[in-house]
Amino acid sequence: MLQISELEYAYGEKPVLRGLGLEVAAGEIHGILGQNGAGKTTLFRLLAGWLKPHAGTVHWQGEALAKQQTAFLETDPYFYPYLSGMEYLRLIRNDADRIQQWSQIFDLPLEELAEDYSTGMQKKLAFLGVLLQERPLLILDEPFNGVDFAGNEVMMAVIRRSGLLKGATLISSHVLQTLTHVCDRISLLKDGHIAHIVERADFPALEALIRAETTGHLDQLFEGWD
Amino acid sequence: MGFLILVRCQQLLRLLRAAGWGLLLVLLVVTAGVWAPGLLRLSSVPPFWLSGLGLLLAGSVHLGRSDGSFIHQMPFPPWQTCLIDTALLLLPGSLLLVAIGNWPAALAFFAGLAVVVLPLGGLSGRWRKKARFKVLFLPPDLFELRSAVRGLPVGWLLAFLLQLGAGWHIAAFVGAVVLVLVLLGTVFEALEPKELLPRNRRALLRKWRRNALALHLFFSPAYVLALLWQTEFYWLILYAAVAIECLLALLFFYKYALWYPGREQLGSSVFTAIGLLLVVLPGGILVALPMAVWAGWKGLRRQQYFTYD
Repeated sequence: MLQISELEYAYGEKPVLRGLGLEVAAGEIHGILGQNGAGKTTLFRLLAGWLKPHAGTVHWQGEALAKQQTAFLETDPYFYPYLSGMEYLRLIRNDADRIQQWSQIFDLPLEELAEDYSTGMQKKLAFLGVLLQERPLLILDEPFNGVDFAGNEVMMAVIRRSGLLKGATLISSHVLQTLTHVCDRISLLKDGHIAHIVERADFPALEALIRAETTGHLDQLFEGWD
Repeated sequence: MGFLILVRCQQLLRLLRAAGWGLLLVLLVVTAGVWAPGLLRLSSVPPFWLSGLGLLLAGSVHLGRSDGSFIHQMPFPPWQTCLIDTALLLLPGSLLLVAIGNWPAALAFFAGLAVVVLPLGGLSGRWRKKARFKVLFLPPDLFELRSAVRGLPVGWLLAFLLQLGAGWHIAAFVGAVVLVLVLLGTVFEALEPKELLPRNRRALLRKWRRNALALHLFFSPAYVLALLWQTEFYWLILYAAVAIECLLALLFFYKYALWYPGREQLGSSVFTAIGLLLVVLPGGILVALPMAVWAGWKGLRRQQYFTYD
């Protein structure tokens, strides 16, 4: 189980996370939902070990979470110039058999230079890289951005099965429906802490609530236009 | 690890192919008159200078790296990747020194490997905009210097401490100059938001001079101490001041000329390294100075056509 407790982080004087606590079971796919600037990426960077928390602890299976236990897919992954897709993957894991296995899920031109890929193809390649690491905690920050509809379906199917790896998956997305498709539970990140945790059975109610909250004023605006 | 070395060689070959072998060969032959005497002189350069050059070259590249996020995904510790990359970077220069018979200098050149203990430039650059602490005495409009100091506080502290030894030995002065020149490359990495781009030519020039003044003020203890206790090296002190000015102008105008909305980082460590080399190598300043003038002309010309939406 992933246990996050009393996590705090601030950029200068501006606090982003204020005593955030969350528990994610092994095998669970957990969605993080929050508005722009809510602190989703900061939370992920803290979990990946790229930032050090100002307070609080993160444990995996009872022990402090180590960098080597997390695989983090950034919103904008980095690609070296003059490097082919295959070389990119081999730098992450130099195991031809495993690359062969994982690369079957997407039809990518792995012998071509990664910098020449489209945004969606680069995202798929980075996603493969994250899977290849086979680490217990999978952190996916906006994994569906820029990916075509077929790729999205494949990614969602793979994420749904990632529970089979016996690790936990944390995922954020701008599109609520992508989270409700793949997640077991969704946490609402607000004011630097987890405001609500929604179970799968309550996802339809969550969708309705968010729709009402965000577009309710539009009904008034368009009233009488017909 | 072996695969990493192989991949780096592949990348270099592809880069050379993209740049054009033919063009590079022609350039090499045409400019032989410029680089050949320098090469011959290298055969008698003391190892001390080459170790400084190695540090300078490796430091400017290491601190300007933007691949920190990827390095953390690799199966070995980041410092090992950096060590291999830095060794590969220094290897051609070292082999050249061996070829011209300067063995001690070839070994000293590898002093640059020491930079792998410094924080990866890419990582510090990525979050440089997020203030961690205030920088005293630096006005808010000198955003570039503030963000650079926040990003690499240890480097600037080291440069400050090192220059305090300038009165004791000229090497401390030279070391501080080298470090400041390396750190200068990190100053203009982050240029967002676009309001930072001065709105007219006069404001741009004023910003440039304010940056220069802040840098000279930072370095003033070294100037004063060296002028008081190392008077026989007055030419070196003058050269250091000109070198700092020259590289600042080069970087400032070049980076501002390149900036456009949405581009968070202006990583041009190679350009910085070239600028540093030209500034530090004897006579190189004669090349760096026209480059700075060119960058200045480009930056000011851009002011003329830049529109704010």
